[in-house]
Amino acid sequence: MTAFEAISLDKHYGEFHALKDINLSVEPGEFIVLVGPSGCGKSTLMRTIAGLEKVTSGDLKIDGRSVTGLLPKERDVAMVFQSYALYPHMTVAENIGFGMKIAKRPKAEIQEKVLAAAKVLKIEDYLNRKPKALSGGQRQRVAIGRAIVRDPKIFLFDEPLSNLDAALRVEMRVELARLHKQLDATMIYVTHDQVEAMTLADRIVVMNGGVIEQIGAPLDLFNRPRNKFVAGFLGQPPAIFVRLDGHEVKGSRLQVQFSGTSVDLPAPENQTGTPVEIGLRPDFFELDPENPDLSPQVEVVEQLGDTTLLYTRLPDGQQATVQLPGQVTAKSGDRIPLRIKCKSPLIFDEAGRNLFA
Amino acid sequence: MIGKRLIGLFVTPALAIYLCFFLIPTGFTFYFSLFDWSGFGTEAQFIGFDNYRRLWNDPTFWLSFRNTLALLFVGGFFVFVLAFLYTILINSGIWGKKLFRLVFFLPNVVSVVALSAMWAYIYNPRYGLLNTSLKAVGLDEMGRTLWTSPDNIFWAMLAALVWVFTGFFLILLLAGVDKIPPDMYEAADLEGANLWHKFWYITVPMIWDVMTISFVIWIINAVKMFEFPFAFGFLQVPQQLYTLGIYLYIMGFGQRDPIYQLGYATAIGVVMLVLAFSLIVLVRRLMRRDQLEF
Amino acid sequence: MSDIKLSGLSLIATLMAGTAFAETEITYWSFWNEPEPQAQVLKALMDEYSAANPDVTFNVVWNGRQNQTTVRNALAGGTSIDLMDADMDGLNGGLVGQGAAIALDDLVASDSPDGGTVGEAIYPALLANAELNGSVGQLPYAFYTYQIFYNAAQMRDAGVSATPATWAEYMDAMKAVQASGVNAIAVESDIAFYNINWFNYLLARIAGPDFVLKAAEDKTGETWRDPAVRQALELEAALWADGLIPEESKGYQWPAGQQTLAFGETATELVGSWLPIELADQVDEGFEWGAMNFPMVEGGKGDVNDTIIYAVSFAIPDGAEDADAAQDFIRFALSKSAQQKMADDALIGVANASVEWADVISDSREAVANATSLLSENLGLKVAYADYSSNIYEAMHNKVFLGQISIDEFVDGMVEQTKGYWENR
Repeated sequence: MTAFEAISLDKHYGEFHALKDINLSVEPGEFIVLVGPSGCGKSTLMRTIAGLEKVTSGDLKIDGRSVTGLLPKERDVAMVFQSYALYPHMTVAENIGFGMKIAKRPKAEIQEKVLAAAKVLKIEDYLNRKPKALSGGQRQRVAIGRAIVRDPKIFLFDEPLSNLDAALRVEMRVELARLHKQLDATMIYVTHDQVEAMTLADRIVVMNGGVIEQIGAPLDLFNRPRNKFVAGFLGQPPAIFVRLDGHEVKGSRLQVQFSGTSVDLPAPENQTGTPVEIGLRPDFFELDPENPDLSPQVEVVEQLGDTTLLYTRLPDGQQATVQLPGQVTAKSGDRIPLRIKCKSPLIFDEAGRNLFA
Repeated sequence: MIGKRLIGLFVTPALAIYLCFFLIPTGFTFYFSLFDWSGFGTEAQFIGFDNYRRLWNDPTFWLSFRNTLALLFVGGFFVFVLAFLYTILINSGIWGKKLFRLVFFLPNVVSVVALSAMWAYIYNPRYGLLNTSLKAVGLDEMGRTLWTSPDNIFWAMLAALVWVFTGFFLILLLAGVDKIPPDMYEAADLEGANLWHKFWYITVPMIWDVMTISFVIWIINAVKMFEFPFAFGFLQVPQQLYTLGIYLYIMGFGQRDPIYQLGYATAIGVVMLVLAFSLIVLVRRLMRRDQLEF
Repeated sequence: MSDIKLSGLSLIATLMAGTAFAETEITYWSFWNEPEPQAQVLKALMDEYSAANPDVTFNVVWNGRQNQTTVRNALAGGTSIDLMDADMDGLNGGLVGQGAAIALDDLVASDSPDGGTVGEAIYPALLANAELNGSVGQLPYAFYTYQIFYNAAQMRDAGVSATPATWAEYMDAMKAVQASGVNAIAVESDIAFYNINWFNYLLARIAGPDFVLKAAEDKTGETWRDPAVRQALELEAALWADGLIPEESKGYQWPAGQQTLAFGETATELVGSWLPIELADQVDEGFEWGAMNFPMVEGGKGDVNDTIIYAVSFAIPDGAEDADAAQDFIRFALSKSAQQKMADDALIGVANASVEWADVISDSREAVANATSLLSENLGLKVAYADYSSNIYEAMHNKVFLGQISIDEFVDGMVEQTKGYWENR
């Protein structure tokens, strides 16, 4: 049985079509990350799952049961809000135990469960504090604790780490991954941060403009993006796209020409489209003074220590980001000899479809 | 040091204004209450606490005092119960929130004379809206009630007054509720909270400061209540409607009858001041709580 | 000290007057509101006076009924006011009673433009009421009478041909009206100063017009146990018991009661002579007003011709800068032509006895002309003990009148509260 299923989901806000024919099915224990730029519909999708928004048409199922017409509280889901939505007048313990309190559970049971959740999150020392006496990370844990005590069928996270500073975000990310393993719970997680998506997800759902662009395991999506949008969205720094000047199919090989050079690739299997564009990730480039494919001019150099980022301009005026291992000495204005090695080839047809997907 | 001096410089005008227009007049009020004075050219006569002794023995003063308390507590009870009720309803996501807000607030921008004329029409024994409506739905016995007879008129006035003030406090409470982030309620929805839970566990604690202020404003309004009951009496305010404010006016300002006892009226004013002040201190003490951050 | 302040102020006022130095400006603070017909008449009179006396102008402040209080506060603040008006009882209990108005005895004795003296032109009974402690401190120029006003057509229809002179005749007449299908008597439940006139008149007829003051001044309060009090209350109670006043009236807030006259539902109301004017826009065309004197109670000590009035008077505050000019204007305002204008345009009774009143209140003029004495409101209680009059006398009577308390409770209550009043003074 699937833990969650969305079938032909549509959502309109007046004229605005927020979700278009969403179909998604989530396995029990899966960590699903909904990712996409602002306004892509990922938060709306999550809120319809929670029941905070009504759907215009389509069906939602949790554990095989249709919940489309049910109230939020009847769906057995828990949600961690971006703002944490902690009650400022309640202590940590009261915040975590609120749902049980209004359900009139016995005090002892509430105490026990709150303490158990607090221990999982290592906040048992702060149970009597009010939220304002907690740090951002601690508040985050309380919000998660409030979800944990309810032992819901699905955990929903709405950009939970976006209010934390960078260091804390990394720490909490690992914490969440650990928690997912420990609880073995179904989790649906919304973020606009592709690093969170890549690191946390069992499967990523990439959304754009109210539609699902692609669903898949993080590396599948990274290596075999279905289209230009997915290819451009995943990967940091992002891939660049260069218009092809021509291409040639030679048996089982495909040769593409651009920016005065050509790259030889294995021909894509069962592919029909015409290649018009190539995607180049920053790590597709290697330093090769002997036999360079191109020698773009360096504009900005960023030394990151372990790698060097070069922001360059190709002969035809295109910008290209180049990531080289180690510390490369180059300065603005230098021409740098590069060789291209497509680790996972990204060739797009006129419609933006990846021929290698 | 300069900083402190500078602060002093800036605070001085405000302090001076406060002193001139509040503290000194308050002091004078108390001072005048120790005199027998008509306010006409004649000399004021110092009589010590005689005005207060007279108040203590004055049945009309106690009637006004009782009415003021009834207005304060009974009226206040209904004003806030209704204001909270409407707050819950309006915030339950029904349509027309702005319309309801406007409708409820409307009485506050209409002159009290027009309002009392309207209520006189509602309460009219024969062709009034209330009795004809009651009769229309078959409540004939109740439809013959004389709402403005001497036995009922205070409560009839109070009901009208509750209607007027509910809108005002509804606006205050709604403004407080609007400050509460919506995800607090969404989180509660997911936890299984009903309207009452959300009201009691989230709304009330989170608008605590607004409630305190509302109570203080109500106390001030109720203790000095004058306009509405006065207008409700049209030509002559019946004694059943006397509040401390009205009695002060009757005794000091020759309303219809040439009673010109300014010193006595001032003593009533001092009682009102003390009453309002002690109630406010009490409410603020009872409702003291940590500042919320959200 | 205050003289220096006053002269300082007047100096400033004079400087501010600038070129108008030689002229006289009468500062008049009025009891009327500007839109009222009485105010319009006074305006016309002032214009007429200024036309005849080009050096005199008027500076008018229309304060309305709270005029005396406003004047009091202004005087205390050092404002100079030359002329003001207020109700007669109010003045006798206020500005005049407090000795803050100048005596007008010389004005009363001075020549009227119509011949004779100013005082001789005024109804003697009215002028007598203006006198306080042997001196006239105010001059009445207009007044209302409290009488039983009625719809003459309905009285005729009920077969009431002669004006009832006695209480028994009155009750018969009211019962006849009731039998003809119209309510006999209209009452406003919340206006104590209307309802008190039943008691005032009954006590005046039964025990004489000085009884109420006597009872109030009895520091033991025991005078309230006089049988006259009980008799008066029993007669009142019979009006309710016999259904002459509909029970429903207990819920009438002014003007609900008087409107039943306009609607033709009720035939009579004991009220002031302003009623025909107040209802002028609401009654049918051809509505025929009548007014009768309050009937005599058989065996009583009073006089059936005594009529309670509510008068409006001019007074001149102490320290008025242009007191002489103000007095001259009063003289003019009481002249026959000026008074006729007031009577014709404002439909109010006027002080000058030679002036005819408007048709709707012609019965009132007759009552005044025949009156042995004109009685002040609450038979002098309002002037002498205003707080007692309002807080105890009127309030207690309204309770017993509307059946909130019994006659016994009223009597005991009056005794107790009168005692308390004197102990607490």
